[in-house]
Amino acid sequence: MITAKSAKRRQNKAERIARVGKLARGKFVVPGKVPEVLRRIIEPGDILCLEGDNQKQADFLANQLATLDKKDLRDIHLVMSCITLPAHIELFKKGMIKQVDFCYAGPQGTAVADLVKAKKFPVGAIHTYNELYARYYIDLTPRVALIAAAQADRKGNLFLAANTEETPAIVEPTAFSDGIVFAQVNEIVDKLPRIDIPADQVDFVVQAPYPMHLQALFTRDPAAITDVQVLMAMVALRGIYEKYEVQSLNHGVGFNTAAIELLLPTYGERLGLKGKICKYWMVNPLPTMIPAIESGWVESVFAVGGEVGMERYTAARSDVFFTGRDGSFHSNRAMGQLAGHYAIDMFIGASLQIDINGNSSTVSKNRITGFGGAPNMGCQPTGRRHPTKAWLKAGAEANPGPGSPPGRKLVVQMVETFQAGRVPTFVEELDATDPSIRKALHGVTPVMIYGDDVTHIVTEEGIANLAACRSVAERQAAIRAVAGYTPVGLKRKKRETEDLRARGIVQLPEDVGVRPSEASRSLLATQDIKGLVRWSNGLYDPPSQFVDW
Amino acid sequence: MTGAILFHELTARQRIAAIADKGSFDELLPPPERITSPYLAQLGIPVSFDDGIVIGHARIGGKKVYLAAQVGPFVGGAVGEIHGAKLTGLFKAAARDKIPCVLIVESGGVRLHEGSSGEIAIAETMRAIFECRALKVPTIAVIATDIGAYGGIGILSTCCDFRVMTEHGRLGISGPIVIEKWMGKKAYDSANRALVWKTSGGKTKYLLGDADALVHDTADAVRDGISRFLGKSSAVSLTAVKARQKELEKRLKKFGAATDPDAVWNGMGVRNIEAASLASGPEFVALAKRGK
Repeated sequence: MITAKSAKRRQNKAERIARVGKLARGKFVVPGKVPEVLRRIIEPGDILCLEGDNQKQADFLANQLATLDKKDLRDIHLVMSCITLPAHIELFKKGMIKQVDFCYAGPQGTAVADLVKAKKFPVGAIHTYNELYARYYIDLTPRVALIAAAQADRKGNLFLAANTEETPAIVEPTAFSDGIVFAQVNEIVDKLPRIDIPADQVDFVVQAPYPMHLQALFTRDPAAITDVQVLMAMVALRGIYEKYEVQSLNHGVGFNTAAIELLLPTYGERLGLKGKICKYWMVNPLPTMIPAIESGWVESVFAVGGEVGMERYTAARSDVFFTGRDGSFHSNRAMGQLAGHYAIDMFIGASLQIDINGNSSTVSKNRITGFGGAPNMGCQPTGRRHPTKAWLKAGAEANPGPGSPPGRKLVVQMVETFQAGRVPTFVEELDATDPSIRKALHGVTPVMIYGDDVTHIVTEEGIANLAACRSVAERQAAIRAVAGYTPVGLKRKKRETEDLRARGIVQLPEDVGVRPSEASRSLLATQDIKGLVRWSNGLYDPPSQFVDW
Repeated sequence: MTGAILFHELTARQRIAAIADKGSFDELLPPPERITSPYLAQLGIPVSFDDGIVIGHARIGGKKVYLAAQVGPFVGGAVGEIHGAKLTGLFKAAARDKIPCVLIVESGGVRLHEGSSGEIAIAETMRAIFECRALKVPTIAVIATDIGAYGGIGILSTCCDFRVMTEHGRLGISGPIVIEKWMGKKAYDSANRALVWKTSGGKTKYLLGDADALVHDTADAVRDGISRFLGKSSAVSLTAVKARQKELEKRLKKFGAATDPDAVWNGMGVRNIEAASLASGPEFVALAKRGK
């Protein structure tokens, strides 16, 4: 009976849809009926996927789900990228969840830590984005997926607008395994600008009474960039970007990398680096990239998500960004992460804590956040075979053995030695090694990026080239050398530092041709958000919290 | 688009150095003299060796001036006894020597920890300003940062002959948070930065005639703005005051019931609000003129 199981699964789906009956008109459900429809389509023991990453959220459906109770729904195996909304936390408090597999819990990090302490947060594992999407095809295939789209037409085709993000990665495994796909949309229209998800893969649609939540995540106000961050940016530009001729890259979301973006048209141009570095990007449409794009630095940008306010600008620069035939911006989180994994010379980002071996983490005892996409990009892809200049150069420095690849991706951690409130970034041991956290995670320490994957650490003190270190002791000494006045840094030995400096493993700003006294905000292409709007010729519409005019 | 450090990002001493002729500034009661607030010390609050204001004399374009700059990062540039006494003394010296006096403002008003002496100091400074004006000694307030000029310092700034502003500067009596507290968030949302700047920012103040010059956010532009007024004074006479009163009544009638901040810009002749929002200094002035 080869077909028995699939026939059962298909039949089960048909039963669920039959239970909805007249609560829906075809695929369309009115907002008031959503809780009852959810109650009828979800069964105990289901793997339920809620769409929601760090930007886009199926918040209406999540909120409706949270109005139900344990008597309506229980034993749910929740799978989702980001636990972001109070509604998500509600599901746990009500005891509806038997297991959760997720990636990231940014804004709810404290609530998650509390749930863990109260033993109300049964974690399977914390994943990286692509790891979780991959499991949707293997052992975490959703029976029901609640997703968000910008528009639906009368047939149920979906348009995802600028924020495609992870929708395809959720819909495909669900729809092709007789699962149920339920979409909330901002609008129902007669004709879509383009079809991103065919109606064939969509079972239910509701026009939500309010537009889906979109977080302006990548907007960094240049006014908040400090002189110290400018210094670090100059050091990184000379000591890494210029040295390795980094052509393709990903930037994190912090102010450090925003400073680099804003230095390209000024300091970078002065160094004669235009056309030599920073041509191909896997990055969201960062407003702080506008000056570099307008100055002709950037060939292409592919993104995992959109950014609020960048819609008109990206449409006007369709020669740089990926856009649909209608001209509007396109993103794809799974593909973007894949690109960032295999196809870039460098990943550069920040972290809250780095230990003496170069491991980093954003988890603390009172705040469990998770990973998101950084580890997908901030790692060595040993499945990579194509060479680039930067890859080979970094590889040669790492002195590969007979059984290792000839190249290396540059994985750079760029941090100030202290975080806000004088909390040291460098520590002997990560908070993430706390026994209660490890126990909740089945013995795994939630490390964001492993020290072995990191090639460089940049601080305001200088650069530590970890890839060039020849022993664990040497790596530790190199980290201490750039850890400044943190307890970790104060343990450095002068002779060791001088020896590492002589070998170019530790480089101070002057060693890469940067004079700290020169580091000033005045070098930035613009000092405020309004300047970005001017650079964009009025095409950038910053979110209102950034507008003071 | 690059290179110049924005005026509003400079420190008080950098502002003075950038505006005064090179090397011409002599600070009076400088930090080494350590004249600090006795009240803050009693309350266990850190003091500052200049008590939040830098005063002295300098030359601008060869002309002698008395020059002061408030230090916003120290208790919001608020006026305490020492700070106030330095301010009063400077304007008195200006009147005595008949030398123009320029104040680079950055203050939310009186320092609450020493309210009474702060209030008295502001009143005394106003008297000194009017003494200057009676003697036709120019007094100029520069308002160019988002701390701006509020409370007693807002009033004091409007007592001066002229006000030079940038788009970053704000001028008012009650600050946005105070207005919101009294009138409610519906009437005035202090977190709505666009609303706050449209109602108290430099551009609006220029349109309404409360600012006499609107300049770019650079030290050069501010210096040029100041220079324009160094040889002028505006008389305080009964007719002038009455005319001003009439103007204010007209303004209240015209805009008193407006709920849309753009109404003021529209009413004052700005046609292309979006372009004007992005324009700075003289470009804004040109756009505003074109509408008239």
